[in-house]
Amino acid sequence: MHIFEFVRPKDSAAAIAAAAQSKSAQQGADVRFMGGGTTLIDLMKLNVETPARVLDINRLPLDKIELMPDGGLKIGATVRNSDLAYHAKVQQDYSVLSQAILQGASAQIRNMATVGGNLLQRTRCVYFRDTAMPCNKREPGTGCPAITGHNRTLAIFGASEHCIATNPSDMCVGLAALEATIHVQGTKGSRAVAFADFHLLPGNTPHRETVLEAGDLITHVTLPPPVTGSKQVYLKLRDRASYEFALSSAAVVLAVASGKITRARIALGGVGTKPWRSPEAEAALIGKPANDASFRQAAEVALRNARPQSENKFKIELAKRCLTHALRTAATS
Amino acid sequence: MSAVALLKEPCGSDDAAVKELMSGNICRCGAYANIVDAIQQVRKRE
Repeated sequence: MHIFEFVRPKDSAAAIAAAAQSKSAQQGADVRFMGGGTTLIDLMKLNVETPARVLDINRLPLDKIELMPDGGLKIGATVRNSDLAYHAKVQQDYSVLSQAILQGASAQIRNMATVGGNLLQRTRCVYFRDTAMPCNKREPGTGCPAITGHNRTLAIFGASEHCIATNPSDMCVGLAALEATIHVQGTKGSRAVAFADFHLLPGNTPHRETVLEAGDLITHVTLPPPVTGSKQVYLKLRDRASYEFALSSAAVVLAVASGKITRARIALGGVGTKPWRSPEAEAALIGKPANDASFRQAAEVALRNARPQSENKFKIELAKRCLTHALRTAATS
Repeated sequence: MSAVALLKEPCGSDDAAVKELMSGNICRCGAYANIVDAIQQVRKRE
């Protein structure tokens, strides 16, 4: 672990000004915001993250969950994952988010981890986390040993010849299906970023994972008004029952009227280089009867463009069954 | 520590819920049958 300066900015403006001194908000950043620290501090211990300054934002007033006039929900960036998952409104109207969070990590980690931090959660690719190995995400241009190495847990969607690392977040899969918006304050003012636009595909710049620039502070996340009568399910499949990352997961928000599907939102986890929304599968369900044939067909559509790595072809069938089962569970709940 | 904490957390009443909130410790023995039984015994008393 490298020596670093620990600073507690007095307000958001001071935090943003201090962070704007960083050369980047991406891999290699020399200034980092710290929420719960459950990812950042781990990676600092591994020397994967080596910021010279860590800005503690836990005392900024970003820890509220508030109802918005339009019926949506505003969630502060430093709200703890546990507090969000157990919030009555979230459990009632955005239950896919609550389910997703509670299937991630452990109780101890969820009690510390924040919304903002979870949005920026880094991959669990073993090569990224081991500084003895090359990794284009950690050190651009050094190569990707995962492509010919251990890639059982890595991505079947969104990979490039430079990086095949999976986004590990469960919360983000729920937020993708709920069409959340991420609100950012930076040196040039505030802006809102649609969830689908927030994370970047690796392409030839895998060290860039989000649209954030130096000085950008995630202040809150908003959810649109709930879809009345929708059924929501998060299903996560993994190597052990608890405290493990997804091999495949599915977040579904389904509305059915007179036996026909009127609305569907689908996102997949554990399979993509970013949280993987599937507009194709959503479109395939509209107007169809809410039955197994429709669900399996949608799953086939969702996985049509999947490209397996040498060790994870199994994920294609696993993800299909995961999505089919999640849809069936939602329809019959 | 996990057991004491879960007494104050929104934990479901069944053994599976207790096991989930006891997970995340380095050793799986944190959710052995006798430990789960002991936690449930304390919860029923409170």
